[in-house]
Amino acid sequence: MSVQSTAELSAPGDQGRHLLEVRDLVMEFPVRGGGVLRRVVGTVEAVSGVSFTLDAGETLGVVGESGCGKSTTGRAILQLHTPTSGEVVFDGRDLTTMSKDDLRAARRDVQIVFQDPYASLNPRMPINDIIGEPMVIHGLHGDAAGRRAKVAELLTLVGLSPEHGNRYPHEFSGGQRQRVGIARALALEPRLLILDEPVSALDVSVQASVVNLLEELQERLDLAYVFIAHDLSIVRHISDRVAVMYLGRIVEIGDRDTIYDGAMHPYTQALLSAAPSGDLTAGPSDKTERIMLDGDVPSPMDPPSGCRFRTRCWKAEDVCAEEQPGLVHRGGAPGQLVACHFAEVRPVAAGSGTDAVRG
Amino acid sequence: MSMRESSRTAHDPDAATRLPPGAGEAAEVLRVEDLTVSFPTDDGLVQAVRGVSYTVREREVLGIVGESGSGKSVSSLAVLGLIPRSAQVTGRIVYRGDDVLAMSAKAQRQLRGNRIAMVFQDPMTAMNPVHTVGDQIAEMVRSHEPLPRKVALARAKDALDLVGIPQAETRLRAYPHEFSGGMRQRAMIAMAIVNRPDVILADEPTTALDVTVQAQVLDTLLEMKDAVGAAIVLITHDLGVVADVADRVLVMYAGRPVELGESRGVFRDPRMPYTAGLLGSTPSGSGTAAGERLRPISGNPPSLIDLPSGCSFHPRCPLADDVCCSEVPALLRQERAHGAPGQLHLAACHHSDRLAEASDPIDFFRPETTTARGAQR
Repeated sequence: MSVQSTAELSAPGDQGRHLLEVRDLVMEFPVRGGGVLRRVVGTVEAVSGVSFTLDAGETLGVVGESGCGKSTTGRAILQLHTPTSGEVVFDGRDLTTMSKDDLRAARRDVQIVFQDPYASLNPRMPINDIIGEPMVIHGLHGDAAGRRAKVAELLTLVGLSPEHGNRYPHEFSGGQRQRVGIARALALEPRLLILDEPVSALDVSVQASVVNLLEELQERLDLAYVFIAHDLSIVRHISDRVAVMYLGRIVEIGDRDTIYDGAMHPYTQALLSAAPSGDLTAGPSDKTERIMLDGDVPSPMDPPSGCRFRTRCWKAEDVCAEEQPGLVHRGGAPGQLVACHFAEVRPVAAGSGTDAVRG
Repeated sequence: MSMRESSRTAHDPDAATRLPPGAGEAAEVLRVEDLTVSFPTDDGLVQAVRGVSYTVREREVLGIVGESGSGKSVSSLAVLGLIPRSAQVTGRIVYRGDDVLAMSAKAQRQLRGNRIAMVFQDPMTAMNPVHTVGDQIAEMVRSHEPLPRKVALARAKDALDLVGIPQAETRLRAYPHEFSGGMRQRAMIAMAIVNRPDVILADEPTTALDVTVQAQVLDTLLEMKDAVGAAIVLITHDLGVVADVADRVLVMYAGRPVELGESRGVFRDPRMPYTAGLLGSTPSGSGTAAGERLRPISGNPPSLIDLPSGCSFHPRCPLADDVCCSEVPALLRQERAHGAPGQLHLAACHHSDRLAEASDPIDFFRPETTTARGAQR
């Protein structure tokens, strides 16, 4: 099943080991019937064979549509879901085979920020306790006074003031709550943050300040980010590298500009062309031709054989149904890996789009 | 530049409500005049909409943008009379010359879903789960025309065909849960266009959808505009969608219209700091290169119960001075250096001339370091 070799995934010129190395990660969920016995009637392969690497201080953007497995991948890295198979090697140690105690200790270095700042903070705990709890669990920063000082420091770090610590989550706006969520994630001084749609629930103007905060924190603390989002323009803004997922697989991965300007996978090309205007001030004729995909994403319970995108792909031929394309370098920019038998850079003809002039 | 310096002309009270110049070809179908909507609550009066005016012409797409609480949804729900009875509504809503608010309930019902139709954000909650899609669309037909069920169902099938749902005949008998998200939204659009309305109010029609499906649904909506000749009022928070599909854009903040004009022109040359701030907050609108910080608007939108004095935006505005705190700025016509001559551009700001003179209005917003600001306290 493993078509990706990790050697291929390492960008050229990398020295030493990666901070995070995900190898052939598979995450299956059982599907139960509706009867009394709730028998398992099938499995959903939410993530099927995902591999990538991440270095310290780097941001990997993970994009894809709902159900593509991007959030599941994030949670499987943290072992919030126990992966069905595959390895998650953080700093040289495989998290999937660790004992419970070792895993708990390792989680100090890997933390997560959730999408919904309303659901991810306990409404009955004051902010001081919410941010201090990870320290209690891990026995850090000594007594209550020591923790209090650290919480105050963290609140200041994320742009809130220490006095906010005595308040409850409902007293904060969405953007402020997300800052609390970030402060909690930083409480253990992690090296890697999984950011699962951290700004999707926020208004545009508030979104921007949280994105800026994340960028500042990364520079100060040399954090690595896995930034999961569906908003292509934010991912372009924040990421160093981008992975595009479709139905549980990475279909293309590479440097940010490579993906956005020289995508080789048909799905990446369609996704980017479908996104609303990249440049708001450009004239309508500046937009490149839009690729319209037919139909919907197939059910992950019964994915298509071979290439999973073939049912909606305009390039699909017989080989696509028979053979799963490996995620390998197929020309293009250095480090650009594409899972497509017919990968090529789409000629970009600005302004020549037939579908371009609308409205 | 000389044109820009005299960026304001005397306020023309009808400017906001009159047809934009060049509208000779297309007739006006809907006009909203000085609409206000307030909700009495235990905590006080929530002023959701405060003096919104706009017009929509045949086959035109008007985008209404704003953040949550800006009143963009409430103002369109009020057009259809879909707000609670406790709400206090003033102003005029004129459909082809008739004041909708002055009509009898029966006459309003005849308009709603027939001449003015609505597409909601979430088709899963907007459709009835226990009736087939066909029956729901047919009901829309039959509540306005006394037709046999079979004829109504045939029209429903045509509408499903039109919005690009394959095997419409079979799909008529399906229930909403059997449709995917994109298909449900198409069915909602089919329901909206089945009576060939003059105006379609679309409230965040693609927000719940994935990018590729969003593109399909937006295209369908625009095709329907041409197919049935309807005007579209598109309510969204996504500036990119507006830039792509809207002819004109109305920007709302805290219940007030703050800027109105041809959409690309407004985004290229905003005259209200809030619009500039929205652009600076968007990676695609700020023109920021990679590695450059975004320019967020500081603070949060105000409470609609306890609104700031003067210009509602002044607590968050980098240009605010004393006059902004005391005087509400009027929506004034802006002289424009480029864009179609005579194309109406209105903005409500005491300092719109400073924005007009700035080489890049986004520069008023600093990519300030949030962490440093916290540390100062």
